[in-house]
Amino acid sequence: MQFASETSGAREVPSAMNVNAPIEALDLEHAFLAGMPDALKRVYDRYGALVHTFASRGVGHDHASDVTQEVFIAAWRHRERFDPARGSLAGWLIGIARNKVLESLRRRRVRLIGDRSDHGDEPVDTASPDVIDVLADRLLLADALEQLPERTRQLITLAFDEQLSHTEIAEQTGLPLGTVKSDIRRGLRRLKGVLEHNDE
Amino acid sequence: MSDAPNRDDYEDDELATLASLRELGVNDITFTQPPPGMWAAIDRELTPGTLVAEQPVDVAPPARRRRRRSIFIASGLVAAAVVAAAVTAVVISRDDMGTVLASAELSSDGLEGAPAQARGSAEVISHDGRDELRLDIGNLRPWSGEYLEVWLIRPDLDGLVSLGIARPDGTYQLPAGLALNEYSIVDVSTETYDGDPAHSGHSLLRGQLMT
Repeated sequence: MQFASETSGAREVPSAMNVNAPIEALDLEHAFLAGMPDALKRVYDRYGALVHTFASRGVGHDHASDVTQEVFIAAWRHRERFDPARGSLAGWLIGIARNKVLESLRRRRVRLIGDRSDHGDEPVDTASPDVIDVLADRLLLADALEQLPERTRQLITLAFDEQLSHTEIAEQTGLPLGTVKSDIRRGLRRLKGVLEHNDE
Repeated sequence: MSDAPNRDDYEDDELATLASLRELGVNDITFTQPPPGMWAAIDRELTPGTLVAEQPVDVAPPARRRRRRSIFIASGLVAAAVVAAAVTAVVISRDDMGTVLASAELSSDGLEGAPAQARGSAEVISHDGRDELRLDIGNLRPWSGEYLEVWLIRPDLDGLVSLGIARPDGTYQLPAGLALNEYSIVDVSTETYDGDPAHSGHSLLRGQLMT
């Protein structure tokens, strides 16, 4: 799979864009911003599992669907606030989801405070913003890793999981050292962009 | 990562990314698909015009709906006020999405003739210097030949303000200077085209704003 930013260098990508995003993601972001009729469905198909997994881990299975639904509705209604120059669509969606998760947790605490007679034994959720932020980074990275070309993903996994050197990876996979180096470099650049922009 | 055997292969920022990948355990993630029907629910919420249904949805028999002509259906209100009093003020900043000043969970519990188990939620958002109510009425739809209207009511039931006919986008501008702590009950009523601007007395959803 070839991407413009890989074949010809980042200089040909408009400077306002996130240069680490694959080209399909850029198309989707443009369609979303322009309010194209099928754009939200495409965004949902692409990021529904990411958002729902985040919601499930954030507020628990019972409340996750409400959060997921709210995220995509809010994202569409406020899509003009999405700024591709500031980060990826995935990061922006997770930013919204983060607020919805914290809001949902807060509401449940409010309800527990107000009605101890019924729910006195129910544990108050202790998830804090810090825990939620780590979860956000974790899922965004995992999602971005899954989106890398298969070979790049495998090489990067060898690099971070088994901590192999480039030479060892080349020996183990039979790929030229130059290919290993450039694949890993491009892949890491894209993953780094995910973390940098997750500050919505 | 500083003692990693392969550190010479990478720039510092690349080492940081590799460290994040390992420390966050990204290989252990199994993604969960949203439940079936989720997209349909989102699509329904965002499609203009779906608020008006051809047929009544999930409602009690019409005969039951006409018994009471007063908005003073007190059941549940006192309890809601007590809950509100027990809650300390919280203002949550939501970045550029506006600031939540108050929120309410709406329910049809105790409202005679309302669909059982109807639920909704409302938030008062301060955004660009203006306050607005954002209302989610779930699957609630008006009966054929009727329409839904949104109100703010005083807890002592001694006054009410109409925010207008229910809107598909769920957003209602609040009158400038309205004392939310006085008009703290969010109410959704069903109204007939009878020319009478007063509340019909048939509330389908109601909830107490909590700050």
